[in-house]
Parts: sequence; C-alpha cells; structure tokens
Amino acid sequence: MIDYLTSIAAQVFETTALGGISVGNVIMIVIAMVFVYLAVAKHYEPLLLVPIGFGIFVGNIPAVAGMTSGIYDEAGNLMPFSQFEQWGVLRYLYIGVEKGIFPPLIFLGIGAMTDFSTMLSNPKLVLLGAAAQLGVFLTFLGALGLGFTQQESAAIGIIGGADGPTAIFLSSKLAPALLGAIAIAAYSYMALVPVIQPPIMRLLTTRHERRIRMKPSRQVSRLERILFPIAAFLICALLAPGAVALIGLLFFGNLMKECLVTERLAQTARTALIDIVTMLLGFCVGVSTSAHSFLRPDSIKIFILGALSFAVATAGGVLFAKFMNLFLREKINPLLGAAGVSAVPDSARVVQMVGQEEDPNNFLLMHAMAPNVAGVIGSAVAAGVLLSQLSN
Amino acid sequence: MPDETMLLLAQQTSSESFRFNPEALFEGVPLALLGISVVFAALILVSTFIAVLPRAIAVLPRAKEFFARLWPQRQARPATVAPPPEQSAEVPEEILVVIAAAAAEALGAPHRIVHARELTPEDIAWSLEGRMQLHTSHRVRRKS
Repeated sequence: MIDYLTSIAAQVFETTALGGISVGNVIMIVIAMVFVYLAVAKHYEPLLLVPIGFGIFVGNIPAVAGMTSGIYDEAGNLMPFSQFEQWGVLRYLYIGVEKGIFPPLIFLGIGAMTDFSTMLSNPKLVLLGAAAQLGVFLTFLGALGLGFTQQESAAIGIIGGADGPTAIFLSSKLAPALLGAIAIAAYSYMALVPVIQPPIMRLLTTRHERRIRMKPSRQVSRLERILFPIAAFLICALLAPGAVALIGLLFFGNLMKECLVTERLAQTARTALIDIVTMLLGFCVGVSTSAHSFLRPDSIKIFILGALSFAVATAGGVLFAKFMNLFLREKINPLLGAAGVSAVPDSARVVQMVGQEEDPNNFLLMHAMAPNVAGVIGSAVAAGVLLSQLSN
Repeated sequence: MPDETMLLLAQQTSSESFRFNPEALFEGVPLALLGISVVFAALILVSTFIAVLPRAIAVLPRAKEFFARLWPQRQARPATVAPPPEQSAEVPEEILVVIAAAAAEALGAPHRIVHARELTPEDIAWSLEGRMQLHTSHRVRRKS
C-alpha cells in the first residue's frame, strides 16, 4: 500500500513544475516580487512594472514534458515557427514582441497623446533631443569594447534613448537573445530617471545657469500642428528609412489628434489601444526572462552599460545646451538638455524639480517637454540608422 | 539550465567577461559617427522646418492677395445668400443681410449661407424643460 501511494505521489510530482525549478527560477521570482513591490508600493512606472513583474512569474515556471505552455521548449530554446502546432497561447502572443509588432503600435498611441506645440514654439530646443542621443552611440562603442557583436551593441546602446518600445523594437530585430535583459534594463532605468539624472545635472551646471528663466512659449496655430507631423515624418523617414514603422505610426497618431476630424480614432489610439498593447508587451517581455535566458554574465554587462548610457545621454544634453549658449543671445537653461533623454515625461519633470530647487518661481516643465518629445523622434531615428546599417 | 552551469557562468563573469577590447571599439567608430550625424541632420531639418513654418503661413494671405490682383476674375466672390427655404420665410430681409455680413466678416473665404430661420418655442422646448427641471431641483431653505 505504501509503495503504491509512493509511486502515485512520484507520478503526481513528475507532472508538476516543482521538480524542474532551479535556483535561477527562484532568483527571478524574487526579482519579479521586487518589481511588483516597486510598482505597487513606490509607484515606480506601475503600468510597466506590474505586467513585466507578473510576466517574470509566469516565465519562470519550468516547462514540463508534453505541457510546454511558455515560449521556450524543454531545452530552453525559443519554440521555432516550424513547431507552431505545439505552441501555447503565450508563444502566439510573443510574436508581437519577436516580430516588432507591439512597439510601433505603442508609438501610434504615444503620437495620439503627444502635444508637440511646445517644441513647435521653440525650434532651438529640438537640437537638445539630438544631443542626448550621444548616449546611444557612446554606449554602442562601449558594448563593442566589452565583446558584444555590432548588432548586440546597437541593441544595448539604444537603452540610452530611454525609450522602452524603441529598445524592444531594435533588440527584437538585431539581438533577440538579449531582448529580455535589454527591455528590463531600459524600463528599470526609465523608472530610475529621478535618481540617475539630478546629480549629473547639478555637477555640470552652475547655480547661475540653473536659475536661467525661459521666455513664455508662443501660441501655435492649428495649421502648424497639422503640417508638422507630415513634414517631420517625410524628413525623418527619408533620412532613416529603418525607422519608418516607428516614426510613421508616431506621426500618424499625432496627425489623427491634431486634424480634429478623426477624434474617435485618436481617442482609441491613446486609450484602449495603447493600454492593450502595453499590457501584452510588458507581460510578454516578462515571460521571456526565464532564468536560463536572463541570469547570464551578459545581463550584468547590459545593466552596467544601460546605466552608463543614461548618464552619458543626460550629460550630452546638458553640455550641448551649454555649448548652444555660447552662440545664443537669449540663453537657454542648460537643465533642459537633460530632458533630451526621451523618458516622457519623467525627465521633463526632473528638469522642473531641479530648476525649482534653485528658484521656486522658475517653471521649466513645459519648456522641457520640447527636448523631451524631440528625444522620442531622435531615438527612433537613431534606431532606424542602426537597423538599416546592421540588419543584413 | 542546471545550477552548476550558472555557478560556472558566475565565475566567468568576474574575470573574462569584463575584459575591455579597444580595437573592437574603434571598429564601431564610423557607424557611431554616421548615426549621430544622421540624428543631428534629421533634427536640424525638423527644427529649420518648424522655424520657417510660421513665416510661410504668415506670407500665405499676402500671396493670395497678390494673385488676386494679378487675376481679378479669381477674386473672392462676395458672400451670397441662397434663396431662403419655405420655413425661413419669417426671417426679415434686413436680418438676413446682417447675418450674411457677420458670416463674411468671420469666415473671410468665399461661402454660401444655405439656411437661416428663427427658432420657434418648439425648438427651445427641450432646453427650456431641462433648465426648468434644474432650477426646480433645489429645495430653497429659508434662512433662520
């Protein structure tokens, strides 16, 4: 009788995932708990960290023979298209990440909710969005030096663009094996923008510079708002055709918002659509971070390089603003350069916060939104250049 | 992946993985320079377009006037009032003229007023009813 019960218990145990759980899985589950804690208790990027955190829980349940419900097979490889009959629902959903479908859809929603009028009222500030992309290319070089391939280095470098969807888009195309680590690093550092940026901003500016006040923005006409997405798309797409999917949907969303005759579509894009895609994207990225694919030396290097890229991007923006001031009669507050890091609107909020520490009556938030949204365009163009040069 | 392999990987992390190779770095310099140049070129062009756009828009009406003077037959036609439909017969002619003048002043561009009629008590019945309900929904208290 005891033998029978033991054999039954062994059979039951074999059908559970408990037998296959490793120390790595346990570490990942703890990391997932930290993510959910940060989102729920500390309100750090909850819309991203909750789906990613829960996805990590799901992705770290080991596969059991005959019951492969995740995206990896029992050997730990991504289930190939040739075996689609064995795919579970998660593997089907993961196609949106693997083939870079979700990030452009998120850009559609971002376009439909972004107001470019502050940028249109002060075109000089657009250049700060370009300067902050120095972080992308210097990190690209750093990653090459650390032994990554050019494709992997490009995907790691784009973390400095501080744009989660762009980072996922590029890594899905150039370095799918590193996608989980890159996405987690990008979103983690985006959540840490209020911690990473202020010391660099204070270090590189004087008290006098931080107190510079900006002129109020001018009123932007409707015609300007309608013409801008069309012209900006044509300029960026012709120069960096690799970014057509990202930039195209970004400006399509913005045109829907600004032309006022497609309000229903714009409303859907900036609410229901972006919410659905954010949920699926975050969850699928979390699912892809199973212990064997995430707990690798490369991931540690990616996290170090990610922090470096955010720091360089911030410094690049601030120093370029100071450089511009050498030629400008009307000086710009160099803190605005830090908002070129396109973590919208977090880095703009940080600029406002640091500016108000010196002068509580100095309101930089709306001015900071200009380099902030220019940074979104800049990072998409940077991704387009890297993709077109390295995709073959 | 077995845990022993993870330990092995952890040991490798400390030594070999973080070795820096400057030669590999220099191989990427041309692409990095190309990339940052394209980003700057794109955003300089966008910035220039944004700077020029309001001036171009400001010039448009003057250009319109200029072409209108060159070809007088293409001048903006004065506002015309369509023959009023039957139900608007009660609008006096002088009121129609005032409406046409106001529309011409507000819109500027050539336009046609298709329909004008006075509102009847039936037209405003719904809003009147709503307003009455709103006003009667409060119980007014007498101040002691």
